[in-house]
Amino acid sequence: MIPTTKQHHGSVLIVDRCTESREVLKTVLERKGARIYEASEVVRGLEMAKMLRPQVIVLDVEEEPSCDLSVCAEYEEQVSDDAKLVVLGGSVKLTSELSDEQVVAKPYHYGPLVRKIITLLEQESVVSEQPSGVSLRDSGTRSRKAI
Amino acid sequence: MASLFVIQGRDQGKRFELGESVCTVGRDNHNSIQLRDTEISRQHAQFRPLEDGFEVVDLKSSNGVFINSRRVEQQSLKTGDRIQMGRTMLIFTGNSSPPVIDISGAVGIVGEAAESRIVQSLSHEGSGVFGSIEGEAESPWLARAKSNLQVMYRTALAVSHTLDIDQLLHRIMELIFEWVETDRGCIMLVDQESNELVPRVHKSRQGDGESRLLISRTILDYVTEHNEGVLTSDAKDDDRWDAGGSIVTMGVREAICVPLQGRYGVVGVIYIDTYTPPGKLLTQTSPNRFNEEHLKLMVAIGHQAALAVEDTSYYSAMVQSERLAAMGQTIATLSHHIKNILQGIRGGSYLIEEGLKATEMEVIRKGWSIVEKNQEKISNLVMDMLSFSKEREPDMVPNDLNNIVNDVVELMSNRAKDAGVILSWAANETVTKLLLDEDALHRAVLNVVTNAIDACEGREKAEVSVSIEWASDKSNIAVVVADNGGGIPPEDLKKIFSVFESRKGNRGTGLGLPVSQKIVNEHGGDIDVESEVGVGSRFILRIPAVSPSGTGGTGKTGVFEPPE
Repeated sequence: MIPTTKQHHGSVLIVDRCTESREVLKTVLERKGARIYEASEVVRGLEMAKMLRPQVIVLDVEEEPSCDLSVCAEYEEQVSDDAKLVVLGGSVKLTSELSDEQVVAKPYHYGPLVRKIITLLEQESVVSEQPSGVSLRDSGTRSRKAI
Repeated sequence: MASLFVIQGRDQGKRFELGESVCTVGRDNHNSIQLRDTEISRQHAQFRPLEDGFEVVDLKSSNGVFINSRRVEQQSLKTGDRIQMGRTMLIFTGNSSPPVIDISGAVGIVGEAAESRIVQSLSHEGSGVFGSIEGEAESPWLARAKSNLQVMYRTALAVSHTLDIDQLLHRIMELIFEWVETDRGCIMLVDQESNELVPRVHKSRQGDGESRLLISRTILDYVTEHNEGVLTSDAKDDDRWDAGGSIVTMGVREAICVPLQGRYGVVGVIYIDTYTPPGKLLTQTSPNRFNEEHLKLMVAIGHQAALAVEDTSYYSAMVQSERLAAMGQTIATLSHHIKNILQGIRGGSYLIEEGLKATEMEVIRKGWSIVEKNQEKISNLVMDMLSFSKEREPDMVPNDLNNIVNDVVELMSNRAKDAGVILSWAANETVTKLLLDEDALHRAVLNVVTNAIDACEGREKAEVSVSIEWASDKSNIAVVVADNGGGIPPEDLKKIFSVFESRKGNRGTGLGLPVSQKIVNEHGGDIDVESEVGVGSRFILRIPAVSPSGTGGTGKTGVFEPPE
């Protein structure tokens, strides 16, 4: 049993064909109090994004055979009001809609990626007037505070 | 797709595809096509798409753009056009292919109804192709003409039989020595890098060590600059060699030098001479051995040889290009797999680190499990690469196939469990010891079982069954791996044994099945695949059943009785 402080104030949708990558992010982010949704295919991920309205979407496009920039655009279009998008994949070229910060090239380190996701969750928390004073930057220790 | 293929220059062998947008060529790395040629301008030319093809436009380059040896400012291109920029020569190939005309009705082969009588036959290899007709007297002129034709014929045969340039040039030099009374000869080719003539073949009638062949630069320059063959029958009196006092001082009495004139330019020269030691040149007189007829024939031989040199050179460039492309693809594919494995190891390590910080064993265990899986992946990748890369004779020793398959099933049971797949296996009690390479066959079966588990992961009631079956006459034995996965579409079936063709995304390396097939082939067997989309697949690894006594495939069951 993993002791976590699951308060579900922030939610992250991980869209990645790789089970291991989902498992790593899920384990760490859940320990920090985030609610995690998973999808192994982009199409299913998009459906979940529309339905569940997560605050952050982590989208791996590199291994998706049919995936190209139009998929990123579709994600952005569908979820831009509700969620921040982080795209994983070294070969993805930036569009005007995707900033440098939104794209993480592979192979990446999980520490910086997790910190990026948490920062985005914090920003979303501020925007949506979540309880202030929340800090999740200390990823090295068990989270005491909710997102 | 339209393309440019570099046939001369430092980038020889490279192929550039022309897309729908304007493509610039030059020395700078900002160009779509960068050529490593110092005689090319920074921005030399543009290739612009037209409605029905492409055109080339000179961007006011210093050395110009030449199409089929003619300088152009702007010109539309057709397939086969030779584009010269600096020292680089490119061949253009357009999009359109010639219309296919069905000529099956225009040509037919008839049988008995129109039998023909064979009056005479002649092989191209025979020496009598241009021989005399028995009983007919020949004039000296006709005899010489036939002799010349024979030389050309033999040259054509020589150049058509080899793709090794040095071998080809040696053969040509031998033919020349057979045909003309030359003392010394040399064939020089233009070096692609330096543009200088470099000797490739040297022959002396007195033997190679007799005298060092010094060739006058005056003659070489004249031949390459004027692009014409020269004959000098009395070097010391020839006006053309005013600047070439060296010819006389080198003891050259007569010389023929002809260009190797190919399709796209001069690729080298052939030089032959008669030699008299310098001290005796002025006093010694002897009849001339070279005449205009020799020169004409040498020019023809030079052209023939040049075409062969060009063909051989382009063939080598194409092979090199394909080799580089294949190597590039291999590196890219392997890098991709290694990158994914690295990503997995990083993920596992990160979890272990997080778990250690918080002293959470479950997180550490998860992380370690991921690291272990990726260790296994990289181990499999390396083993597959090794198996695929080297030709080897299988180490055939008596083995029980049941044990080999059993080891694989045991190894894969956890993986199958994690994937929610039932892995069933029942040993075949009738299997006896056979000559098999245990390690290799283990890998062959492992790859197929791994694929089967991956194929049905996530499906309802996913199941992989492994069994061993005898052929009806017991000449072969087969490991059969069946799954109820998604099946393989017929169009993909042809590709599954091609290297780096994977249908598993980041989980597949595209090496597993090619390696399995290679191993089974090394055993003298083959892999058959039966598959139906939506139903599943059956992989049958069939190998000859060879008993330790050296017999097998006889259908006699007694041969396969297990040893006591």
